[in-house]
Amino acid sequence: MLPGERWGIALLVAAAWLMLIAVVLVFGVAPDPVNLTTDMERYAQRIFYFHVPNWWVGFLAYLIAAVAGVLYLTKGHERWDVLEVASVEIGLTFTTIGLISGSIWAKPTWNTWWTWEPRLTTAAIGWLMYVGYLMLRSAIDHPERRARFSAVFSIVAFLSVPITFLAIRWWRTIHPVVIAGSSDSGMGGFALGPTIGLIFFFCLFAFTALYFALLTLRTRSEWLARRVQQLRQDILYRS
Amino acid sequence: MVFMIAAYAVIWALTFLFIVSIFIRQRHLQRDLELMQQLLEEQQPSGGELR
Repeated sequence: MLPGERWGIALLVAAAWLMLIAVVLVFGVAPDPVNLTTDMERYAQRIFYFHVPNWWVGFLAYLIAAVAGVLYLTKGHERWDVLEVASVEIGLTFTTIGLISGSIWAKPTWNTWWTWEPRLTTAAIGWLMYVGYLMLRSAIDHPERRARFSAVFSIVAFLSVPITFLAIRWWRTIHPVVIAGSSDSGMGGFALGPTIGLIFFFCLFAFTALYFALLTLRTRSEWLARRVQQLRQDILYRS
Repeated sequence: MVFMIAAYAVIWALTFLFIVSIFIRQRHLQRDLELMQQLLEEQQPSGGELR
């Protein structure tokens, strides 16, 4: 086991403990919001504690990928390309989970799995952009060109993040605004009281720890993949 | 309640799958790396540390 992997596993174990505490808090301590009257609404509301942190991690991963993209274009060091692709892959995984868990929450709250309202539409467009990012990478063979194009793409794709976040504040939507605001048209919303807020922020912290653990591990495997590719080329040129 | 269980099942299952996929990829890459280094050493009989 190499140092990078050891750090990644240590962080992963720490994140797993934080997740366990988060689960205990969500199911054992968190009160039901007073405005949600039916059992179905109250149970569905518990999805919030892990659904929103999934999106938080996704957006954080895309932000770090965009910053890495800027650094690659200005400094030109391979390490920023490695960080960028690792972060996008993690971001895409978590936003995929966020889309699915959101859809499951929507069914009991809005009586539909999916609706083309502003938040869901912008989230789906953003998700597709990052799928496109990975497709772009796999379509370019030249490493430097791939890194340069990907860096530009990750910066442009990041524009989808603030648009998705602000969609429910800019346009009339059925998606509730729980954090920093309220919505007249939102369905299934609730107030972020002190206990709910505290537990929610703990969940955000646990997911952030998980992100950094995964980033450490995924970055290391990306370096390994590049080393293998380099050695493969060395062998081919010599034979 | 079924929606809450379904959502948490999806969240945990996909997160777990992603973590497992990282470790599997890493193991395969480690094995490939060792194989490549071995092949390179065989190609250059004079030896020398490969980094």
